[in-house]
Amino acid sequence: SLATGIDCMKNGFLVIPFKLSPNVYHYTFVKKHQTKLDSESNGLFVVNLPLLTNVDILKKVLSQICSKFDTIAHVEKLLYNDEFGLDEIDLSSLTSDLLKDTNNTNESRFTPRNTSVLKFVDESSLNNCFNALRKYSQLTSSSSKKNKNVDDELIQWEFENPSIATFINFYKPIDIEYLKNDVYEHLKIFEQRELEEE
Amino acid sequence: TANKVKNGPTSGSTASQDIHIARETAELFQSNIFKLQIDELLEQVKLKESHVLKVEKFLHKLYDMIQQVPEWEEKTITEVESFFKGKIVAVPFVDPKPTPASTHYKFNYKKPDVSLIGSFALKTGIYQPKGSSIDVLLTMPETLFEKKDFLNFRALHKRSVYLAYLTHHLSIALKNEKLDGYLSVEYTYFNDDPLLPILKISCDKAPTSQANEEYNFYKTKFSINLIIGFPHKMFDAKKLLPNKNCIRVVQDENTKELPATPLYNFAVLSSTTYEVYLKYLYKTKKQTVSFKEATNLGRLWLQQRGFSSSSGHSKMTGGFGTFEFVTLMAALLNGGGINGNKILLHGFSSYQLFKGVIKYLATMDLCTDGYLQFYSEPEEDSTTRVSKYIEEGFQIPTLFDMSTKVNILTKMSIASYQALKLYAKHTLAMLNNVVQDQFANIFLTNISRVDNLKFDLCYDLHLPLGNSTHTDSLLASAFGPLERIKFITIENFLVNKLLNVVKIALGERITLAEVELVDSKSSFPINKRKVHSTSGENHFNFDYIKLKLLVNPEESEKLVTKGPAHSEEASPEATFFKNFWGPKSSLRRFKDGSITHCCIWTTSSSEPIISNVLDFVLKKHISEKLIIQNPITKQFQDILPLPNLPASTNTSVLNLNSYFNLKKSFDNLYKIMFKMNLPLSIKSILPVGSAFRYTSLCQPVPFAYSNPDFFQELILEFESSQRWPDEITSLEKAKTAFLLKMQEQLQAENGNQYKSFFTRDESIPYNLEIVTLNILTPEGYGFRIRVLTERDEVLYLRAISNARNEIKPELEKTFLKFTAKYLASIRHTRTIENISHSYHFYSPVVRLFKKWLDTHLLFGHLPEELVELIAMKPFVDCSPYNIPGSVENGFLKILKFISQWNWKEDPLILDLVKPEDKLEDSLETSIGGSDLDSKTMKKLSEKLTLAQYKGIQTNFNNLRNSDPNGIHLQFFVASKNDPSGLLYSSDIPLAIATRLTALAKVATNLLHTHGINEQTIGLLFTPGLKDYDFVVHLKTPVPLKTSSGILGSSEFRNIANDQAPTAFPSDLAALSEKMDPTFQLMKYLNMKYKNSLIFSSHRYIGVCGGNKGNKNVITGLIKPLFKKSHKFKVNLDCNMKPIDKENVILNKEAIFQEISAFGHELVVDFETN
Repeated sequence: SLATGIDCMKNGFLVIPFKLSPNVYHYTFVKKHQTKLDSESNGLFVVNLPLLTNVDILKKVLSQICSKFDTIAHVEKLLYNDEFGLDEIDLSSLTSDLLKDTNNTNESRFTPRNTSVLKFVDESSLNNCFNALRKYSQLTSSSSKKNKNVDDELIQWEFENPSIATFINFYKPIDIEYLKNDVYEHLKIFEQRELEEE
Repeated sequence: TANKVKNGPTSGSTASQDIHIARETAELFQSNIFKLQIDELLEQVKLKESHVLKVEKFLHKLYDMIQQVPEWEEKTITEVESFFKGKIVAVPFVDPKPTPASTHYKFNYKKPDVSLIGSFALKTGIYQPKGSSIDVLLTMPETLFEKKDFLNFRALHKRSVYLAYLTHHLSIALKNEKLDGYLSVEYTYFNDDPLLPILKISCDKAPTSQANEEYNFYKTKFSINLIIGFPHKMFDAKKLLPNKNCIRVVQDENTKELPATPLYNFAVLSSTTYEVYLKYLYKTKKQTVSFKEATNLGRLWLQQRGFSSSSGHSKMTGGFGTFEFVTLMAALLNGGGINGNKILLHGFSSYQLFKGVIKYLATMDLCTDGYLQFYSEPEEDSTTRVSKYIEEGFQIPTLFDMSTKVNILTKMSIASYQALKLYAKHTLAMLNNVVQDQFANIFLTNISRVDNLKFDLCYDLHLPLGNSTHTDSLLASAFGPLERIKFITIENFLVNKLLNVVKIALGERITLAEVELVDSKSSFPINKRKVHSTSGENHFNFDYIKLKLLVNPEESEKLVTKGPAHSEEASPEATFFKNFWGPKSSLRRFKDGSITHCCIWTTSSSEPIISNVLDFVLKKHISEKLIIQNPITKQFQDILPLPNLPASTNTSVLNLNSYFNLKKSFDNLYKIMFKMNLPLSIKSILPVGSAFRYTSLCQPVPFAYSNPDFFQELILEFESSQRWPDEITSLEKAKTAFLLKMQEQLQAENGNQYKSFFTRDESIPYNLEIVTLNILTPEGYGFRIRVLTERDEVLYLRAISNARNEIKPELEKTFLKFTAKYLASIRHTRTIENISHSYHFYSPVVRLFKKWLDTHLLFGHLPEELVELIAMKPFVDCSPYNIPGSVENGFLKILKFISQWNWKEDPLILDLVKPEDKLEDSLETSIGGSDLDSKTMKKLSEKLTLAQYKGIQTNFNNLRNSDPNGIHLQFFVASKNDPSGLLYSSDIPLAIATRLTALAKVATNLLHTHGINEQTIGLLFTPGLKDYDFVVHLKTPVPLKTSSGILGSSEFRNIANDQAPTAFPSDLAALSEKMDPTFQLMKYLNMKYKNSLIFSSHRYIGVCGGNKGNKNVITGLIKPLFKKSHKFKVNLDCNMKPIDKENVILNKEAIFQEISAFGHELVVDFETN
């Protein structure tokens, strides 16, 4: 059943519940992202997104929440959302002496597993969304006082269902023309870079 | 030696000398370790002094009671019968019972001479958990005998009456003394010999607080044997020699000589010599420093192998117990060599004495070509006579005492001698193993506890009497008077006959046959004359017979039993062959043109040929009514997935043709590839797929591309080049560029036959750019090529050094994965392929083990190589057992090993070499040995040396120093290929490792408590889904069994054959339609939730996925850490819900929703436990 009365964790994370099915809820935790990096400015630090979340789903869900509280926010992109840990380690930069010089690997960005940064187009979008989320998070505590049905207020989360085709596609041959092109392009860039280095 | 070096020895001899010295040092080291282990062991098995005092108290009382038995007067048989009429006690006459008509001698009782004999007297006994016996000798006075009493059972009958009379009075005395409340008496056959009835006194009630309990020795677990002996030198020993006849029976043909009666002669003669041997052994003990310790080592060694002094004529592990061991040891202390040279010295340590006796047993033939003679008594001239090995065999096991004329080994049959010799050879090899500690294998493991571990095949033979009341009519050959005097009992006769038939019929197919008479009794109440044997379904003194075989895998599945060559005039051998095999015998012309008598058998996937042969010959030669049962071999073999190949039901489990066909297909491809014109030429293409080493769960079947092992991996290396990109993504792209070139050429030149395509490869974490070239051959097989360059290793290592500290461990794992996949896999495949040709049952055994692992959802978590190494353990390190010779034997030994493997403390160190060509090769020791020849040198260099072994142990110790409880790495499995021991086991979740151990324990306990039968084997292969936190049931839209190349259940076999694919689809994208979607689902679930949950599923849906191969399950285990609440942190990495403002807990319900959503088209049911 729904965890009521917890709208915000002690360390400042808003608790954002989503309906999955009767009496089953998912909880995402959000906080304004503190950063000096330009690339991550106007961001929301998000913990525990539901399975197979992408930026389009988030845009849809957040606009629903914003509209609930008569506001608007423009999402730019979702950063570091690496649900399956595929990009946790960048072998390429770790093995390349070339890349190391230009882009210090020790400084390379990462966020912990199961977290990401949602970047908005500007500060007002971020603020609008954050305020809406705060109000949304308080629904569970405030509405229970009014004895209203909280369930009706909460957003229903729709998962993206992969089909069987998605799974067996992993076994499918790579298109040869695509592969040739990819290899050719990559090696061309690599050689250029090497030449520049010399 | 310095001089020698100066003179310039060849480098070869220096090396050989080095090894020589190294071996000696190692042996000395070994014997020191042994000494410590021996001391500790002997301390543990010491008899308790209080127990000895307790039982001695009763022994004194017993002595008094015996003294009070009144003497008797001479009685005729009729008077004896009337004396015992109406009394409780019966006379334990041996068969045939004396009749008044033919019994003209008298019976009597006069006071015996009483003395202690045996180990209690020698003070060499040890504590036995089941108790031990004290032998008290009562020697009948000379006056009761005549010189001729050794004939025709006379002395034995006199003894039976003497024993009955004593028993009668003792039981009265026990009652009078009020000892009968806790003491009981019964007749028993001494050493299971029905010619030697004795009286056994045991204490079977613990003391109560009541009075008169001072003689209660219940707690000591002793029992007392009253053995009735004859006076020493009473009879003419020469007339009782093993080759003499002492039972005269009436014969039809007077011309024929009566057969020798060695068993009878021994029973009479040995009854006169008990005290002689006590003195002999006592004297030896006084002279020999470590006599007692060595005796107990021998005792333990024999016990763990089931050997005892009991008759070996109906029990294969009989005829050689502690007494025989010690007597042999005593003889060897007084000589034993061909020239009478001493084999053992009185100053030897217990280890040296034990090893000396074992070596003598292992290397000297005491049956066919020679025997050992010794003197138990000093001769008249009072000089000790030396023991001598005589090169002349009697064709029976012989350790002959020249003083008493007793053959100490009379109780051994040839079969039991062969068994003993085999164990001695094994033990000598273990004693000579200076690298691994074999102490536990020699003394602590009871190898005779579980037949299915000790033997390869076990059969139950039932002889139901049916309507007939006469046992003779049941048997194919008669047990007549001549057989009776030779074998004494019908059981001895039957066992002998059975073994002869089995040996002739199976010949080279087996290395050892043992027979056990199940439920055979040797004790009976004092109101009975003999053991009553009408309890079972026959009239024998057993319920049924167990036939147990050690298989010779090299010969066991041969289709032809070859007989003698055909000749115009039938040779005696040919006649014998034809008679023995009857309708099975036929004449055949062989390829070399010879015409030979032979029998032809057919192989089967379900049963070994041995089963067929036995069924035929035992019915023909033992009894038509015989019922032969061995359900377990068939059941185990039938669990192996049967390939959808022609005649697969008639294909032996040892047949590797399906693998050879795949290899041929590879050879063809290999030739094509080497001819290719590429910018860099190919240096090597090395197979690393499991089918190349015969270990793939499913046998390779053409076009069966649903099988996860269908694409067999190859590692391709080009000639070396400096031009490989110095960055990993670009390196992989460059490799792909080469593969693209190859594919282009293959397409252009062989496109009509070979098809090919590219896929991404995920075997190395974080390296997302690996592309493999998959080739489909015209023969229907698939190969997957990955490229290895000299740059790879450098780059992975560079990544580790460049990485920030937190991710270094991950990168180290990645490096291990790379090493395992690209480098070690080559050595692993080559090694396993190479040695498995010598371990014939390895392939079916490892495949069955893989099936068991996949049934229990563990296989997906364990690298194949690790599984294969663990399965190799019973083969390369088989001590104290033999190399497995059946599927069930190998499999059960794997389970036993895992169940007992304390991986926290013990590494698994494997010496991946072929078995010694001949056991004898390993027998010579370096001490005083001759020069090591080149063959031995080579063998020594292939095997792990002591230094290498110690090095691996150090690696293990270092690992455990940092991870003492094995939280991070459980299975340390090392070999020469991987001294680090962690290549294949660094990434196994703790829960999976402990589950493997737990499942093996459950399995072995189940088999131990309920036996190995249809039900328990069934349970062994049933997954325990209740043990998981939740279970997701999946169903794939396309069944994958037939397309995995597996033959369905029998009724649909022909249909399955029809549906099997016979070609690849023309559109290669269509291949994916018959591949397993559940594997991908499972893979991504594990990636997503790896921090908090462990998912498991069947890897081989065609094998474990139901009748059609369309079912799977995904089970989930919540890691213990996530079963409780946590303080909310951003790096908690799990799907969580808040329980208050500070704490969160795993949001199980949401996860279940996610899984259902993820697997939405596959999930059919969801269970939570």
